[in-house]
Amino acid sequence: MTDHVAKITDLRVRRPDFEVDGVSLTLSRGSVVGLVGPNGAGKTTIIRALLGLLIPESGGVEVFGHPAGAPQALARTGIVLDQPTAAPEWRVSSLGPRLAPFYPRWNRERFGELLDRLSVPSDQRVGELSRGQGVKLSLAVALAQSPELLILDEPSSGLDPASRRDIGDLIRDFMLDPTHTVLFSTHITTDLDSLADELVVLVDGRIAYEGALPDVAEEFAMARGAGPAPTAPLIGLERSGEQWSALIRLSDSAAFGQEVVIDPASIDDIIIHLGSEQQGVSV
Amino acid sequence: MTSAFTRLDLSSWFPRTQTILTLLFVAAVGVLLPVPGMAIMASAVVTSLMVSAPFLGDERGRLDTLYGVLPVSRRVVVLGRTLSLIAYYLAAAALATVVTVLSTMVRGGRVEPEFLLIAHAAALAFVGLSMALQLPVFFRIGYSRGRLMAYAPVFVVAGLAWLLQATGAHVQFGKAFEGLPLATIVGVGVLIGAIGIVCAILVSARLYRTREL
Repeated sequence: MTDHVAKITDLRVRRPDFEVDGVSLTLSRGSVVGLVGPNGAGKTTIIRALLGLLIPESGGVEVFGHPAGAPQALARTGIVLDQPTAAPEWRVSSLGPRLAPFYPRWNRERFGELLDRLSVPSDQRVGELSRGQGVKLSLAVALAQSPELLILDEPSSGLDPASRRDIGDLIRDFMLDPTHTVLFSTHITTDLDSLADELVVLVDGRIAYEGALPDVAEEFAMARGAGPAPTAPLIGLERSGEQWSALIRLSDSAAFGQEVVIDPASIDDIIIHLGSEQQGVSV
Repeated sequence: MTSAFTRLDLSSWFPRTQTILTLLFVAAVGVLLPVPGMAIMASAVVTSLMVSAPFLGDERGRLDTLYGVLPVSRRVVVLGRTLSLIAYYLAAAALATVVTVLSTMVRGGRVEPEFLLIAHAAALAFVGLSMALQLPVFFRIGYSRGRLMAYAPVFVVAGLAWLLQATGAHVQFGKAFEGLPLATIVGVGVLIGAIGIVCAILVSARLYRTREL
């Protein structure tokens, strides 16, 4: 058994207004990987590449040892997108019988339990569901397949806190099996705090940071001060009037004087400052 | 897996009002028009118009994404969809046959089996050519960008008919079939239809394999 379930090697995707440039990423078995970054950073592109939905210019993508999109890989992968992929007129309860023939490990009872647990009305048509119910339905479908890899693309955007907690609880349940793996793309970085083991920050189609989530607090901090910015290494310096703020490596904190306030960095701080650093923006 | 996919695909577009209305149109042609073979030809024409319907449904329900992440190969998707369209055609053709026979009987006439065979062979040829023309386009670029292809077969046939008539070539065209054995005429129709469907599958599978979804 290999220690990784998916591997992206030097992925390049070029579009007229967008580019993923040389992304390499490994999803280790048993990990929850949070994929974060600003809009247009390439999160959905990477997920689509893992599912074989797009054709990259170059680079390799393999899932469970198969090329992306291979039926053998997709049979072991549960997918949750921001909207359900089902005909609007299909009834929720009909999705089980429709999809079960394609998944050898489809669990009919589990599907029913998940619909109940997530309060998705099984007698309604898919097109009548709210956005939150649609995401929950997608999650129920994905988990009923008994997947080994769960890929979620912005599942919590626009959802109320209770729904986001439901999704988080189900992911935690899923991860009780140590062979399971999750890739979770999100804008709402607080969702990752209690879920993710690893963090991948994408900016402008490149990986700006990749590492264990607990290491973030030990690696980065926020420095804030007034007046001229110090000469010590700053990442993504931002100015507002006399005030300045920047991300710093915690190992560099000794280089700052007492007039500089150093606080723990949040994931949002890291996204914003690594992003502006990579774009060469100083605000 | 192909049969499971065909069932899923059929269930995504067949039980819609639009589909039922097209079948009712075929029946209405058979009842209202006195020329016996018209319903059978109508079954082929509505099939060519319906080829785009499942692709429209794909975009409305994001089924193109669903089919992209189902654990089946893209070849199975092409084959399954083609089979689901053939199932629709067979349903329309069967309905047309029943309506043709019954309405001719009500009018006090009788439909010769040879006539039915020739009409069905011509219809199958039209369906095969329609699929060869339309399916690769829809599989490659989807409904939104390819929707004009829905009418292409009808326009092509209407254009050819007009051209034959305008040049007077329709007389020679008709004479070309005179005296030919029934088996030859039917065989040519079935062969054209079969080649069209096989070409549609082969070309579509090749184009769909590298389509981004």
